[in-house]
Amino acid sequence: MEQHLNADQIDELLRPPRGLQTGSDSDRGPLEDVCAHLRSCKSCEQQIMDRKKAMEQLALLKFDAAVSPGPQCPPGDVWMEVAAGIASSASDKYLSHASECDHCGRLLNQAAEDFIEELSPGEEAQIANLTSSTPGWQTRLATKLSDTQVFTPKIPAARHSWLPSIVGPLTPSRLALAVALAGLVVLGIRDYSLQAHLSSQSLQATADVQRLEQDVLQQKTQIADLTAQVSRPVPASAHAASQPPEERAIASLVLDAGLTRGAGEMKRLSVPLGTDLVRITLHVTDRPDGVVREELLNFDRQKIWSQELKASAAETKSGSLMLLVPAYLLTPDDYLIRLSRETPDKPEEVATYSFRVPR
Amino acid sequence: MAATSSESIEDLLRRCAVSSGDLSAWEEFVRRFHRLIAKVVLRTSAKFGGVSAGVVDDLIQETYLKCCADNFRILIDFEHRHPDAFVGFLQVLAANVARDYFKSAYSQKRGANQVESISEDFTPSAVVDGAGSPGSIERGILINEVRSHLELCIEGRDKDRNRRIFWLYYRAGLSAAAISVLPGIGLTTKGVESLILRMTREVRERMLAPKPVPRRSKRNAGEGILSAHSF
Repeated sequence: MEQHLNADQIDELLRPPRGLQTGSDSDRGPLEDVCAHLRSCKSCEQQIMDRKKAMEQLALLKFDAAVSPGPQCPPGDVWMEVAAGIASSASDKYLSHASECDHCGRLLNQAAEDFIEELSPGEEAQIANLTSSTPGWQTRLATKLSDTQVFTPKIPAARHSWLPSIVGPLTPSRLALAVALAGLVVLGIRDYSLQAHLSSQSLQATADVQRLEQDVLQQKTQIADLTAQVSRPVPASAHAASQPPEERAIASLVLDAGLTRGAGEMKRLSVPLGTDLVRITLHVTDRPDGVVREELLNFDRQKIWSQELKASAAETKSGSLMLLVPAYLLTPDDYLIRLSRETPDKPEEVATYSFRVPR
Repeated sequence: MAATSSESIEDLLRRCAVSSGDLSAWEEFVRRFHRLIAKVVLRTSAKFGGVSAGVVDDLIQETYLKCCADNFRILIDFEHRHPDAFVGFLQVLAANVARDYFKSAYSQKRGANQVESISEDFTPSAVVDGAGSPGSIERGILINEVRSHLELCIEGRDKDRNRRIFWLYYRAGLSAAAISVLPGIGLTTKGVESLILRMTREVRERMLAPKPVPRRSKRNAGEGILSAHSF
């Protein structure tokens, strides 16, 4: 080997502690050649000596003795989560601190050692010899976990307590019996509390449904009354008397048939706060007669309201239809009203109308 | 549904928590995490002096049961921020179960609320490597020297991360594998090893140089390291 050693070869010879290495064995090159060159080249030998000294200096950076915590040190229990890779808003700050603090760096290192993935041969053997590593134990535990919902017993704090003298060593059969009994008790308590909780929820839901049904029924009655009142021919002099009996806030809108293409030409309906109903007068090109079905669709073309309308004589004469819609349905959005008529074959579309309820 | 080992942890946890009575889900859960839990319980126990295999089994079982506490709240609410998030969480849970056990055992052994008095003629021994000792001062000088060299070697958007990795490796003594799982590192074990090797080479060359090496151009700035002069 004629050439001087390169950086990779020097690093290979210096092989830092704790298994710091890169590349596979085949990448390392023929170390025999390197060693042979080193014996004959004073320059490379000196370089290796100097770098070895530098590496020894770097190894002195590690401080093995215990150090007292400083005022800036976070609580000791944070290091386990950091070592396990659990990120929090403060983990960046903690890591930065640990990299400069001998006390916290040591704690982080200790925590990290517990979580290193590789197992030593001794640990492998210990785990293999545990009862919990047997398929039978694992199946029993899986069965218990799948059956038990809130079973979180506390294990005895220490084996040298009074318990062993009374119950003796825990044989598998005794353990299974104890677990079964405890499981039954816990399941009983859980079922009881769950049943009580569900029945109270069911009662509440029934009451809510009844209240909502009453609201809808009341509203439908009011709309039917108002529709009847408005549809009735009213003499001009009696106009004031035709107002709904209760002081209801009604917003009005008159629409012509046809879809609008631009937002600018779309009719706008303001629904002030406190408005109960919206009265929409639809101009119909064909004289409306018979029963017409009205559907109110929102921008996503979801039907939010529908009803059947029968034009009164006055409406047929004036070529219009009037409909009342609960105001709470008309949240800010674009809407489409579709009128259709039942025919023997299929529903026939009569007209469509669009409007916008601005914010 | 039969459990498969290719099933994601997220899906497995959901099945364990939501599908009550899903035995196959829990069998897969135990199969997948048993070694992990056993490893942490064994290591934590070893720090406290070790315990019998029976207690280790109890602590392992206790860890599983903790996962079911409060109607599987832990499994249901767990946020999978990254693929190994639950593994990290389970390790911390197992370590806490073991530590709680030993704390409780020791407090019972010693007796709660008991303190020992120190004799009047007790004289604490001097700390050999305490603050102000010659060793401590020398180490402080060395740290400052290495820091100044390191600052010349690292640059770019990963500068802070690289600095942290260097000190965690050399000062705190963490292995490359341990560093790679820390939050915010975002490198594999090989990646950390490679980065440390490059930084070590740069710092080492600067330590050997007779005078401070002037700051070079921004070559390799994207990787957070500046290359040193070749020797």
